[in-house]
Amino acid sequence: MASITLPVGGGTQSGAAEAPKLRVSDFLRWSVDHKIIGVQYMAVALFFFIVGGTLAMLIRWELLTPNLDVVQTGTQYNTLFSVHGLVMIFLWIIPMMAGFGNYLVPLQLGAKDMAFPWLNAFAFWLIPPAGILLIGSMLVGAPESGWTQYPPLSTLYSGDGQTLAALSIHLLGISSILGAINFIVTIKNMRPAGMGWWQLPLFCWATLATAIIVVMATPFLAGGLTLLILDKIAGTSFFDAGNGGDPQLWQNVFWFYSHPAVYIMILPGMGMLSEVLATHARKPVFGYKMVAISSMAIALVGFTVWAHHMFTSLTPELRVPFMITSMIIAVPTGIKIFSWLGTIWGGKIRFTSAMLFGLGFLSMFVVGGIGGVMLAAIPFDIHVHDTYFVVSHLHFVLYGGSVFTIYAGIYHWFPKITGRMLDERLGKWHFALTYVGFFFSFFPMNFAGMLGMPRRVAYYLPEFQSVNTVISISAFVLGISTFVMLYNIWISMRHGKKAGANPWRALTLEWATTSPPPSTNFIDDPVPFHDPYGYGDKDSQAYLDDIDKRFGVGEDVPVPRPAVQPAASGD
Amino acid sequence: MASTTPSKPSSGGLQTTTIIAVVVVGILLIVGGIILGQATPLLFPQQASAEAAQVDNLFHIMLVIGGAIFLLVQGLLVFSMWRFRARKGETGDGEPIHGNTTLEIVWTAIPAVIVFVLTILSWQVFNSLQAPKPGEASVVVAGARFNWAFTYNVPLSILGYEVDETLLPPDVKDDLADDGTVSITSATLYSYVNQPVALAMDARDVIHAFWVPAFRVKQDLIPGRTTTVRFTPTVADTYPSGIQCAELCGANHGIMRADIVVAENEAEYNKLLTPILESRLFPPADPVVRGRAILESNVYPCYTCHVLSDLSSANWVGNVGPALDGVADRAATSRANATSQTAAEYLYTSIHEPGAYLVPGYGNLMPQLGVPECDVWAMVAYLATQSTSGSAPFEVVQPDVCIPQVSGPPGSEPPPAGEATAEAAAETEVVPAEATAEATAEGS
Amino acid sequence: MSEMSLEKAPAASVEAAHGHEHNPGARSENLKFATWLYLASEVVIFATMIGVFIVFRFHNPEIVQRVHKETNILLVTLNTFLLLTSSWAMVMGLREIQRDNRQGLIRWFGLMCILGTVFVGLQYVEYQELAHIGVALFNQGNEFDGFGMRFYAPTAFHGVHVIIGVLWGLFVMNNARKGNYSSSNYAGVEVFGLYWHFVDVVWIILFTMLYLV
Repeated sequence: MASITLPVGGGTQSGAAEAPKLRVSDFLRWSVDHKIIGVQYMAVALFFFIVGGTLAMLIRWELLTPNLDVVQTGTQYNTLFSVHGLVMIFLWIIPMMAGFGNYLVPLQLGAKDMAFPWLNAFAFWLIPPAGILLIGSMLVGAPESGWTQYPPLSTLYSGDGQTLAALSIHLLGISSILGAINFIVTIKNMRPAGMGWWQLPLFCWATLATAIIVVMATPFLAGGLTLLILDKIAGTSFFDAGNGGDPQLWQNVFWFYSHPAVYIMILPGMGMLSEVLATHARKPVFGYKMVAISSMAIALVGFTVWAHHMFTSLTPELRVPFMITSMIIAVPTGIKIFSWLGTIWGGKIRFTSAMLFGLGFLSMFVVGGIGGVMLAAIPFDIHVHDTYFVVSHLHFVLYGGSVFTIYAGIYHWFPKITGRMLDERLGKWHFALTYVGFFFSFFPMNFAGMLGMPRRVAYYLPEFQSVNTVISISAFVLGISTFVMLYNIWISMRHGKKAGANPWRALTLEWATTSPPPSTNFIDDPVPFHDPYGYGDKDSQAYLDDIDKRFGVGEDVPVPRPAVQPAASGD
Repeated sequence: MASTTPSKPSSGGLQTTTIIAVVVVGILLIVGGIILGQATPLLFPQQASAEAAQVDNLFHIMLVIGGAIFLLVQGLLVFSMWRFRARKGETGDGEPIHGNTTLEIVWTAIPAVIVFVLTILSWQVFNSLQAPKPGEASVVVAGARFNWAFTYNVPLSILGYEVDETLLPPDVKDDLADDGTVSITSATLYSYVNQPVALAMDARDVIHAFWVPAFRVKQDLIPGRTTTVRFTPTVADTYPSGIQCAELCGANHGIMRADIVVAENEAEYNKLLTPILESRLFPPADPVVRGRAILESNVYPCYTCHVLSDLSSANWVGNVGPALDGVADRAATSRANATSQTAAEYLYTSIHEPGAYLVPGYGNLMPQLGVPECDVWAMVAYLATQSTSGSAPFEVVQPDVCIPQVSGPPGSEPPPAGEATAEAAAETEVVPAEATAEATAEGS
Repeated sequence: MSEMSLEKAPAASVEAAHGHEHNPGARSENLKFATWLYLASEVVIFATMIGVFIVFRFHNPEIVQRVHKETNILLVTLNTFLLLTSSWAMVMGLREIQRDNRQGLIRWFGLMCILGTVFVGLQYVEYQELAHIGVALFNQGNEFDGFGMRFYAPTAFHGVHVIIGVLWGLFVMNNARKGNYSSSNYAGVEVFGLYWHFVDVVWIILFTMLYLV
């Protein structure tokens, strides 16, 4: 490839480009810079992660004993898990993924910003008020119908907090839709010369698939929530069987959004994982096209499986088609898992913290995946529906899946965002505590569920106390592990080692600029390498060496440079 | 390309060593899956229905396959982590392998075949669970926050003695079907071994789910429609808290449980139902005793939301609605003033039409439970005794139709005197027209 | 309120030039594509509500027929005609700006806004008429129970879209007055045009489903 020399445009400047200094005040006000918005998303999401985590700790504390002790009434307990679920889904995982998307998509495309910077900022600023509304809902007549908000419990038997929670979700839905429109336009129209669809980094592929789901599914939730709110405040009875409504209508509308929503939460993570695994295993993504296509396949098939959440309420004759589609969706997911295994097979795996979380994802997600296929089998699902088996499954895919990839992403891209490396030793402690705490929090839930413990209960039969004690103690370990990461972020922001432009020697374009990037991202129009995962290729080595030459190398870089470097030597 | 590793683990050509490795690993995986599959019985509660056997069998197959996949993925992961780790001082990248079409087709096709097989198996099991069975017994289930009630149609013949139908309480007479059956309601689900059962279930307020872990069956109860669940118990036993609500229904969702008793055979089953039937046919003459018995039976969900010290032995510890200790005093004073009803009328309305007057600080959460007229009046009579003084501050007059004519099965005491006075008093009182309300309430 | 923000965003982003200038052609492509995506998500919201009505229509055909018998289809037909005419006015306006005639654009858009406003007014008259015969948002224990909410929700939601469309139209007119559009730069008008066509098409579907079938 002729374009390999001087990847970052014309190369009129020969010296290392100066990385801009970040000021905290820039992140506290309205900005249309996608990088600032991305960090704002992530910071807000991390804040709500702590809020949701605190609620989770209270839930686990309550469940140490079979009867009420931490909370006074069952309603309070119901509020804890309802808000925990809503916060973790709508204010942690989705905004966090949106944060990564905002930060990375324009950089990976070599663009200066998103297609609609103002819209981007607007979408972000809907989140803080929505978050306040949701937390405030706990104070005014608790929302107590779970994150699923099934009527008539939510409409006729819950307080005003339920209305506020619904309004909050409505706002967050609008924010998601606006963000998604921006992503689709950006990815479709703003790719640089030399980047066709099949040179698109997999994170962009995943973000594109996610954005399509958001645009097509989230309005369904918006429509449903509008009707739900009307039922609560305007006296209509769309979902009230006593007045000519139908409670099951909500279930269909809700899950028609919320099943695709689980892919909204996992697909960007899978995209990040592809980047992390390829970079740290120093090998191209195995079956790039299949990984990209399977994202799209999951997005598409994801629209046809919603009623598998209703296997105990749906008319029996209608259940079987949804079992078939739910089983089918395991196939593209399997393709991804095996492709990732193929990616690390034969690589030169570097056990950085990012890679550990990536590998941790593979080992945990497969448990969630196998549980998912079991749940698709109607007869078995009938037994474990609405039990701790499902709680285990959903945490394996959302925590062991999404959150592990978020962690991997944080360790991987923190150097780009701040210009400094996260501490690797703390990172490994974080991984060890998270992995152990996570596994022993959620795996035993499978046993509890199959043996007969329903979900969403403050009271349980005494025979489940021992397993719940194990779960709660592990959950506390998991809770502590989060603070290891937060501490790491806190100290590394000021005292971390200088990262340089490309500490991991990665090929995607976000690394072909300073860390952090200047406000226009690139000094010139960057030229992408012809294969975003062309590791092990002589040309790619030359390309990476060019980046090093152009921008310099950080101190004590984790990935040794094969060529002799003037700045620093490898570990 | 600076790689120093000589081996090519993923290269396309099929070498003998590769084939041997694949075969050996494959056998190990299958053996591993089968070993993991042995855990199936440990993971489930007691297997106590025909359905449970089928579900467990399906799960066993899934666990063997899932276990093998689990071992495959974790094994590949750990092996790769060890085999392909970057050694100290090693620089450079792995081999630039971009894919392998054969391999990709294989790992698309194999999962596809597996899920195809699982779908077919699940479909078969599901059809068999859903299929109506010959000779099904039918039980009506009502779910209301936070209680289960089971209504059976029982022939009078199970009593084993003749009953003079003309002497039965009026509501029982109305209920008596042409085939000589009467409906009785219990808070416990009774059945017997190898008797297929079909439950017809209604939700009174919100969505509930009927779940029996030991039977592996679950079905939601949805307001506005009747849903069905089928099972055939196979093990005679008592299952305390054998039924558990599995769909979030509010504050006390976790304790919305009920017991199951599975008898050895039909005769034993009839023996279990006999006392319930007798209490319906020959209710105690004293309405206070009658009311107390109804409330103690936990057939209605009152106890899950209200607290009443007098009935604490019957689990009256609910914390959702107003406490009922001393309710008679309040009914006679503040509530009667607020509603301009008599104390007895107030109590009656509170049960019959809970939304009509709300105690300050409480929402409109109590559903209309469809309690039969006479049961309501008996409850009112009992609640009237719940005063701080210990005696009823006001009199509750029972409507005519609610006064039983016999007090017990043949051989027991005749009805005590003193009924006559109550009866006479009833005539002077204005009472709601019961007959129609009763008919609808007892319609099920 | 939530609908407002949905509406405003694409319009406002017209102005979001913020220094990252692309070439105007690409920018207008982006805007149009984003508007299509936005309208796609709107279609889903309307589909939810229309779906709710269709399910009701399917289960309770007699209630719907009774409402049809009691109401005057003429008014709604006239209203539909007005909205279609306003769409035509919008297209004429767009044609004027393509010929670089800003005054023409303002005139046609003025007509469009007036027709849109009249549409909302007549819709209000229609609501009054329905309220008069007893069709209410919530159940009142009369023969039309269940119809009201399923009828008012989608039509009111559509009405809000018309109102926002009129305001947006006025905004476009003001932009034109200030000389912001020309025959080579009229993406803002085109995007509004897409939106207004959408409002029109949704009404035709609503009219068919709610009044005719």
